Amino acid sequence: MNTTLPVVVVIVYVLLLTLVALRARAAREFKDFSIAGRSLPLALVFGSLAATYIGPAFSIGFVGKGFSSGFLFWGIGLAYAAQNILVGIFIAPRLRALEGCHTLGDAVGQKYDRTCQILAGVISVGVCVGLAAVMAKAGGDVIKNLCANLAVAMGSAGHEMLGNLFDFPQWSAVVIVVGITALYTTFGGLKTSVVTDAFHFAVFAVLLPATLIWILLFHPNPGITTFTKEVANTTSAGLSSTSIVQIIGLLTAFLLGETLIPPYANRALASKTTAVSRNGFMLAGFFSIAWFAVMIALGITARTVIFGEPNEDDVLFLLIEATMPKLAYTVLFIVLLSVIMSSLDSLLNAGAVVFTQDIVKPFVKLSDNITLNIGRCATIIIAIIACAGTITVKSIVSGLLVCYTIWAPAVLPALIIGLWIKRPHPLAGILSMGVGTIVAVVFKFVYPLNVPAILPALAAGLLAYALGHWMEKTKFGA
Amino acid sequence: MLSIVKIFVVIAAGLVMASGIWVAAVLLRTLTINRPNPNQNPPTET
Repeated sequence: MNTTLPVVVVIVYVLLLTLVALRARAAREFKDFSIAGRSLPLALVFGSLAATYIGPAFSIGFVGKGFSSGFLFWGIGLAYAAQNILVGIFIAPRLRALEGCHTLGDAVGQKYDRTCQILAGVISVGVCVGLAAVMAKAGGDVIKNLCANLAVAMGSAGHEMLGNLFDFPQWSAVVIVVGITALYTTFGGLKTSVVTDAFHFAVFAVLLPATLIWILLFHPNPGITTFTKEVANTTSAGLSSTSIVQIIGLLTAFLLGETLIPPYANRALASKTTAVSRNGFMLAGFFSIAWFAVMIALGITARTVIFGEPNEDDVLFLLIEATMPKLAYTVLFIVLLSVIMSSLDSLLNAGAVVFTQDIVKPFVKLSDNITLNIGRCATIIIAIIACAGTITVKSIVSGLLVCYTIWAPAVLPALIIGLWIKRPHPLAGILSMGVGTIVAVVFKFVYPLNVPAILPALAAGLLAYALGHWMEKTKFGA
Repeated sequence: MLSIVKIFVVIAAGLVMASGIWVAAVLLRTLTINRPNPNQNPPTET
């Protein structure tokens, strides 16, 4: 393989990313850092939302699911699309309409009280750090594989000394990907995060579907006729091997697990108008229907190229290796790096903003300049914790499921009910967040059940909310 | 039935690519637009 071209592709990509990040300019005020001055247009809100939710699970993971169970996971993914569309219609415009809100915690604080804001802030930072650790691990894996690939190519071309430069351990790969992402997020804040997300989105939204069309049209095996046969075979096999309870659990996790996690809420709050906020979420929801179909279709095409039972996470790599020119393998790593960095930068920024706004600011009165600097320091600290946290991440999907299981029961009942009822009571918010978190942790780690922990935890959070609301309304015990 | 799936997949791929191109175009416009210097006084009407 020609070794120059892959290295040139990587260098061009890094230069373009740097150029885009520099053009987005550094944040001058905390309002720029946290909500991009509330100036984001529709295309950037949509592109950034889609780039944030499309992480390794919705790309590599879905291709693997397409390989093993056909269009079954496309049907389950519809729950995720429905979630985005419902948030767009009912919640995002209401969030955007709240004055002076930088975070979800702010919204909770406005509807309940300061204690609820701090509690929501602590849970949000925890979830952002957890998700960032998962993305850091995925990014480290991709960088390590990319560099190992370049090292082998250089070694076989006789440039062993140069190839050895690319052969480094996993922890260095994690530090490189998190370091680059933290660098532009620290200085630019949300605006840079959103602009670079749009860049990443443009890269993978063009290249991955183009790969599918290229394989279907020009590769002799699978070809378009074989593909249609495989759709029926794999989907019926997937349906017969998945129980109804499993499908219900998956539908619930896809419907609620990621609802309004801090990076999404930041984009709702940073939209130019309430209409942009609503339409951005709805478009992102409709887009996911098409995206999942493309990923599943890539997985199904792989069935006629890859034989045996490979690891689901390897299917995309094996498919590209078997069907595309050698250079495409390097481009695939660039695409995956885009997928991961666009999620990671959003999580670092959201965690830092939440920490500053919901945990520090309620206790200390600060000037705007100091607040901005605290936000920047928090970005770096969260990045360091995420790097260290990669040791605890067993697999990407299991790491994501832990975060979703805690997020939905802990925050969603208090937030959604608080936005809709006239006089939400602080006790209801505190009880719901506290009980939801504890029950989720207990059933996820201490006493695992046969049903997903998100279900009992959500029920407990809702019951605790109802109890708190009733106690304050009736002045019970007063 | 199967031909519907085939058409759906091709349309989905087209829509995803179109979304990518749309976002890229808006991004390019956002990054190349001439923004006023915040340190400069706004122009006065005559």
